[in-house]
Amino acid sequence: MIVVMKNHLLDWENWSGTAAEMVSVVAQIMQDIGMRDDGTEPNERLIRHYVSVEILDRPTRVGKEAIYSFRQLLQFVAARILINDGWPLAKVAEQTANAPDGELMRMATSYQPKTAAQELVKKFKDPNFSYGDMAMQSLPKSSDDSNISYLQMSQSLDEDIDIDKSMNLLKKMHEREQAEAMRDMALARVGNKKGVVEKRAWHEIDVSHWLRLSLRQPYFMRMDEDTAERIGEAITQVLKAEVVRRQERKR
Amino acid sequence: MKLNVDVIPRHQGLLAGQKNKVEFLIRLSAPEKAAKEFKRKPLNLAIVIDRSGSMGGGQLEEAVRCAKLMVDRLDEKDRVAIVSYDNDINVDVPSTPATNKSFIKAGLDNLYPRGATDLHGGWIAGVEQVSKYSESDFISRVLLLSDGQANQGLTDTYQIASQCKSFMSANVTTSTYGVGLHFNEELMSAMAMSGGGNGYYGQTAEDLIDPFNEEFDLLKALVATEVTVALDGIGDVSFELLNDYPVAQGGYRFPDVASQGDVWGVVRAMVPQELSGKGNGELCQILKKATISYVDNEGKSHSITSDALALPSLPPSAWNQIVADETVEDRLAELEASRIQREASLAARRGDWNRVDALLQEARLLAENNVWIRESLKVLEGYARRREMERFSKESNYTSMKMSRRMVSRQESRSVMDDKFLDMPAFLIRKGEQGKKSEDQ
Repeated sequence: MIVVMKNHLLDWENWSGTAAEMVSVVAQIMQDIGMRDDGTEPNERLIRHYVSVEILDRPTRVGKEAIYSFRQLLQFVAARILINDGWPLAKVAEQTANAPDGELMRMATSYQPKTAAQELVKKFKDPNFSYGDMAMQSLPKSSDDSNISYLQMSQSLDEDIDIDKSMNLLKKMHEREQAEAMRDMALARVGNKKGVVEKRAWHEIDVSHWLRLSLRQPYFMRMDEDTAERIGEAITQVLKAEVVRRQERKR
Repeated sequence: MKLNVDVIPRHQGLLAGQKNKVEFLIRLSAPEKAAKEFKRKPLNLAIVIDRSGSMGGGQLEEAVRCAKLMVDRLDEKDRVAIVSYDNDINVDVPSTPATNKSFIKAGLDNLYPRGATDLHGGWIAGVEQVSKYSESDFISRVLLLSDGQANQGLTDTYQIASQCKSFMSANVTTSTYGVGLHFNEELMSAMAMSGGGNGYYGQTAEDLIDPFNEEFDLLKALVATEVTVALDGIGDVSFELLNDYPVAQGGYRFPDVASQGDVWGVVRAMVPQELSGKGNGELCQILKKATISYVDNEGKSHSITSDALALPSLPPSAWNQIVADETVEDRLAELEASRIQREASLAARRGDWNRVDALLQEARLLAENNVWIRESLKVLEGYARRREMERFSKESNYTSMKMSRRMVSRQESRSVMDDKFLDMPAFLIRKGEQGKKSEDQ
């Protein structure tokens, strides 16, 4: 990885140009090394700001033009990596201002693509993340309706936590994991190698002593009057079709 | 580097014609050759320090001193980050190679106690620092220090412990250090156990030096990480692991293996009557194999298997003559003592001292042949007599954790406590009291 990144940078070893030209070059380099920036697009103002806070060396003047060189490219890329790592600008300047070119090259090639742990950090720091999301992700998806398992899992976790907060939660977690491992082994022995057990909550309505309607709980909970009418119509049509089929069989 | 795997049954036989409960030990160790040619893996650490108001009175200074000692012991190949937190989180030193140590230690010089405790926020900032290098050739660990109750940000034990477990699967482990008598030991021990690290505590900040040394000796001696053990049984034999190791990646996640120490787990197998043989000495297989997966110091993944476990089917007269294996007996006694101490810790927290006394009485039966259980009980009995709830609960909780997860030295004796002047790494020494530094014991 580092070798590839070095080559990308060395392509620009003899480069010099204006701030506007530098913007497109650093954008290209950052794309080449796979660096997903922190949302700050390189632009001329940013380059001038970095010069003012001494992250970048001052450009040389050629007539009216400020001309930047390969060293400033290295300083810029190194600075973006350090800023992504969490260093404040003043500390970045301390590290880039007087660094020899070799040290700048080391810093500018130290970028690593995001790891699985970094993706997890991003997820857990997301204000919209909820523990329910994690519970759902850890569950095997049912083919037609994963929401049901998700609801049941969330409910059971909430109950566990509310019923007795003082209980040893960790012990419970391990017990649950052990129970799940035992369950998976037992399921495998009866041919269920995926270890997925379908669980569905049903809402049952006894319309009369001889007629029962069963609806999946989440659908029942969000049913409105229009849906009820559509269900009624569907049932009517299904039953009519059954009656017709039965009559045909009789004939 | 290939680990040694031993499968040692408690009893060398099955009782014919009966349903049998068979305990066996799975023991993992580094070959002696590996210890001699040992090249340690570089460390990628984040030291996360609580600087909330309650850390005043010298505690913060002592924590900083321990952190600086830790930095001093790092090599140039290692990386370190420093994070401090109260209700605000500060990355005082972002993850950096441990080359310029005075620069890193200067990051610890301006910490002052103030504010509340956003423990989760501080911890995850530490995780964020090590996570950038978690897939490189490092051992990545967050060392979290706190003296209090998390009262800002996410505070739920279950959710935080679940996050620790997720990060463990992504190669970032967590060790925790509780200091004083008012930290939340439930949260701190849950984070360590789910996070694949270690849990320590010190009754005072001065007592923290032992755990820091212990952790550092351990990290420097690790030879295998990401260790999982999967059991492959015969027919209807079922297995239960008696240690509270988490389940991960199709097996049990065992602690990392260090040179000079044995990592172990005790498995209880339920063998149905029809597999217990006819009592004529024929071998009955219980375990086809245990598959151990791990990553060595050079970053190579390995998968090795144990021998099968087969025991002779014996008539009652012969079965009654079997002498139990001493090592397995010792580990079982420690696991049982661990269970009792955990329960006693919870009972003390409820104020149920009658239950505590009854549990300690029960534990005394296990102490007969085990000096460590005996010494630990003496300490707990003292706290129980004086009805010191916080001290009892914490000591009991941490001794319990240590007894069920510790690495074992083959030099140790059943009748004499480990002398700290022996040439034994700190992480292998059995302490009579977990919350105090060795010289005070």
